[in-house]
Amino acid sequence: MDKQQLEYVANLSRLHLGNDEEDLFLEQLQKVFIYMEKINALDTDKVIATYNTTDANNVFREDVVIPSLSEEKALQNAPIQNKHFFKVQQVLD
Amino acid sequence: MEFDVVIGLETHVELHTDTKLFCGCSSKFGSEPNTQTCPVCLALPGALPVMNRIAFNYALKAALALNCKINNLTHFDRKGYYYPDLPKNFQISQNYNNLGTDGFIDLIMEGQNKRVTLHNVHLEEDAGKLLHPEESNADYSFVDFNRAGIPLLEIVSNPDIQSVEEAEAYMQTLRSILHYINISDCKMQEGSLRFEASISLKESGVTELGNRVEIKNLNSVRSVIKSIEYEINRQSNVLNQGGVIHRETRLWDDKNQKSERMRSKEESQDYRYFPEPDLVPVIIEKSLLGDERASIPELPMCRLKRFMENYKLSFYDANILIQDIFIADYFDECTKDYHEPKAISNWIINEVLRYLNENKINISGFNIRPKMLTELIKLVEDGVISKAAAKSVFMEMALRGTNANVIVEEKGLVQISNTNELESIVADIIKENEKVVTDFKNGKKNAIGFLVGKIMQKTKGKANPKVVNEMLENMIKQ
Amino acid sequence: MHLYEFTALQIKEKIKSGETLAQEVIKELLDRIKVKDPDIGSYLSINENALSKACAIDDKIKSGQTVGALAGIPIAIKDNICTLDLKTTCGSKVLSSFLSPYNAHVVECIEKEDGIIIGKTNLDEFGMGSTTEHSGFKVTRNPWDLQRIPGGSSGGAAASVAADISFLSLGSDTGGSVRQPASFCGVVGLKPTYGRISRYGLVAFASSLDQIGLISKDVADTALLLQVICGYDNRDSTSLQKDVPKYIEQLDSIEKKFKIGVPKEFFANGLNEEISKSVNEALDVFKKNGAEIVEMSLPHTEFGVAAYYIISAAEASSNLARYDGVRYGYRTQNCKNIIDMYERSRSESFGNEVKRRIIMGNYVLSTGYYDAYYLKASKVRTLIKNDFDKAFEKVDYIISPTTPVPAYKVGEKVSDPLEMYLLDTYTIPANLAGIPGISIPCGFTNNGLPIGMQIMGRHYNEQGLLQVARKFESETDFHKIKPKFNAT
Repeated sequence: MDKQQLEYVANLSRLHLGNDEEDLFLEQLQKVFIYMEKINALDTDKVIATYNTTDANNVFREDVVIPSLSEEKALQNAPIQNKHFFKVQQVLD
Repeated sequence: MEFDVVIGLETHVELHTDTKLFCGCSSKFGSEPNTQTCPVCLALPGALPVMNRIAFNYALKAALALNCKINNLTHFDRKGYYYPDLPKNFQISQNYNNLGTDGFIDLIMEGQNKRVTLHNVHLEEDAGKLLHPEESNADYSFVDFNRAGIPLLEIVSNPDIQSVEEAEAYMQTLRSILHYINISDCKMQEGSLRFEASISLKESGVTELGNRVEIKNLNSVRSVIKSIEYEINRQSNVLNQGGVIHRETRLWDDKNQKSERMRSKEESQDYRYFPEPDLVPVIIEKSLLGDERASIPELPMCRLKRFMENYKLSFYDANILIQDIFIADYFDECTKDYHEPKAISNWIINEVLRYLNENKINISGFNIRPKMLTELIKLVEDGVISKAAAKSVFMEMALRGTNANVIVEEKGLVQISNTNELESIVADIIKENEKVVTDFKNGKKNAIGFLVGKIMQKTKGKANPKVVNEMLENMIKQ
Repeated sequence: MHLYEFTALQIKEKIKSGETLAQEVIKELLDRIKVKDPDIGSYLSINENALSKACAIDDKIKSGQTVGALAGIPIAIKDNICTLDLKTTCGSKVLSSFLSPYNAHVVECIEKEDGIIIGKTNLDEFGMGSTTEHSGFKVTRNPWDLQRIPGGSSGGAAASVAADISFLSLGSDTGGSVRQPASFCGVVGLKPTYGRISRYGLVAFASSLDQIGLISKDVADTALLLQVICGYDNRDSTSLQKDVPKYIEQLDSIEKKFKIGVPKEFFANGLNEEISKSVNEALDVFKKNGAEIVEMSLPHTEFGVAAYYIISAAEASSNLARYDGVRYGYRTQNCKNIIDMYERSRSESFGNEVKRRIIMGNYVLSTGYYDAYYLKASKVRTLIKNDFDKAFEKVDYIISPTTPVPAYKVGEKVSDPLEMYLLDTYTIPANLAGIPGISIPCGFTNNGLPIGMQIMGRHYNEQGLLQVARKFESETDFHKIKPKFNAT
């Protein structure tokens, strides 16, 4: 990971890093990623990936309506709202 | 320079389940903002998704109806991007193991056999809705999450579409297939059916494709067509002037009938897809596959062919009849009782559909059931009542749900076709109108119409005009 | 003996029999928290309604009504588990005022059985960290030595049980976050099989690894609480549809003969000698009691940390994308546009460890790196899981140290994340494989710090783990030794 990649990923992560933070993270993460290289020593060509250890599959719920939150509860933690809507900076699409 | 057009369409269809894809919130359209939300669809900390069985089955049914290969194991992936209407800032979708792949749609077009292949069909969740306040200087937007989490089927076509007409036929064929399998309301104005187009041009005879431009914000079939036409024009102009087409996404402005650049492909998003760890894979068992396959009715293209071949209907008529599965069923039902498909087709297209349209009702709520309609048609074809009388009987039947013969009797609309009954009247009229009779004899053919009119007056419209005509001609000749 | 010194099971019996009132227990505990917790820093919030709930239970008992299995037991909840009545902060400034509109599944279960939520405990922000120093609010200290960390991320949960300021605690364990602090604090910590306890209401860190865990004074208390909170829940798709055994009743019904595997990779370089010695002595205890001890290998152990940090960071980067300041949580003031709002809200409220993991996670998932990192790590995960599957064909349990070193000093490893990550080597494999693991006290270092032994078992075999752990407890007294801090 180099500085440019760090900036690219910080942007993907919606994180703004200050200069000092960038330097610190780069140093720390480079160390971590060098360590991660370890796994490349293993031949995994024929190995199937594990994404979850539960052997369950086909878990469904039935299509039955469950009461929703009240408007008030839905909005109770909103930083900015107007009783009916969440409010955000203008989005032009 | 001449260009070939290459179009791909991406379709999003909201499935009409009672609840959302991953939670039990109602998916009803048009409720008060933020009243159909819960911890799951608001992406509150700690909430987890659980898949709606019906939504999954609907998606499977669609993939089958669209001739897809069905993966026997399918799983869901997270697609990451930040947008205020996307609560988790990732969408649960499919990327690595789509439900259906390599499908196709045969377009319903007159005199042409066109197949558009489909890259994949997959299930995902819808986002919420952003609303922009009316004041022009407002610097904020509102977010309503009622729509967030409604099940969406995405159908991705390959770039096989080569003209605006094919694009239109694709949209219409797809829409009627979705309608037939009854998985969506398919209402573009409510956003339950949405299209995105990607368009590129290539020089005729050259294999290499030009850069692809995606168009978003298309709210009707018409705007899809208009935006494609606009884009073909725009790209041809640029290329003819020696310019270059960039990969980009453009936003269609329906009011001004033009599109504007939204973002270039270089800024395109890195979605960071990975398998959704909060859901488990779905293994599609043979029994489920069989059940869903069995639930698919005869699809529009098959019906069209059957109507044209078995009933000798024109493409035009058959195509109208198959647009709506319930109309097509209605027609099929009518043909069981009465073997005059052309007459039935005319009645449905001219009278039934007009009535339904004018009164904004569905065929399911239509008072005249197939058997009743065919009885009415029979009365006309057998000459029992006149065509004019039949139309008024039709209106009465539609209003009251009463059988045709009851109304005919009530109103005394039975035609007089009995020549014995009519003979003295016809004779009287001939006697009373010697001059007209002479004119007719001298070759003024339409003079007979006057005589028919007189007879109709005398019989209060009950005389069978066909019979009267014949009698007049015979008696005048004598 | 003070009430707070009893185990949860003992206190429940006292309450049920009428010997003690639930309100007395709560009052005494609240007083003690007031006096002792300022030195420890285990609680982020205290339940103001605890006393009235206790009174209601006392009334029930007085009037002869039946009471639940946890009647009157005060239980502390890690602050990444959602509660209706108390804020759920996840130890993060992002959620410093967040009030969940629903209770987590486990909280519902506890309340249904008349347990009393006493408060919410400190943690490394969103569970990311092994020291509880990465809390956005305060550092939690180890009751055995206040200069040292209690471990983490369930540091508040473990420290509160060790300091007798809670009877039972719920934590969460993604890579050792229950077992490691339990080991550092000399208490019992269980991470059940993945899916055994519904995660509904547990704020996600790494969804495929997270599991709610329990921290208690002894094994019987863990059995008591596990009985109440585990089982199928249809709100968590990964919840196991398996029968739940009678843990408490079966606690002493251990099979006569069982095989314990001792993986050599867990005793290799880097393991503190005193810990090695203690665990080996513990193995002797089992041997004396008829267990067969087998030396064995889990060959892919050394790749666990790398695979774990790739997978967990990837999942975390996605799980934490929702903290954007739109629907809840911290939002910055006066921003230029929506992207500026996202970036500043997140940057101003997440701590460094969380930021590092989000960046790491997005990196390993980004275009061009997915196969080399995320996919590769998920395959390594299969190898590690296979190691265990093979091992459990030959042995019934696997025993190892819980951690390679005892509790270290506050601040010691803050600047070197990799060094901190490497200390999770022994606990991570159980999460990657989804198997249950329990840490129980098995000794002390020369300077008096607790040592923990980890017992791992087959999928779903919490029952066996509890029985083996109970057997060890019945032969030793380590779990009865309390830190000096408790007495002063």
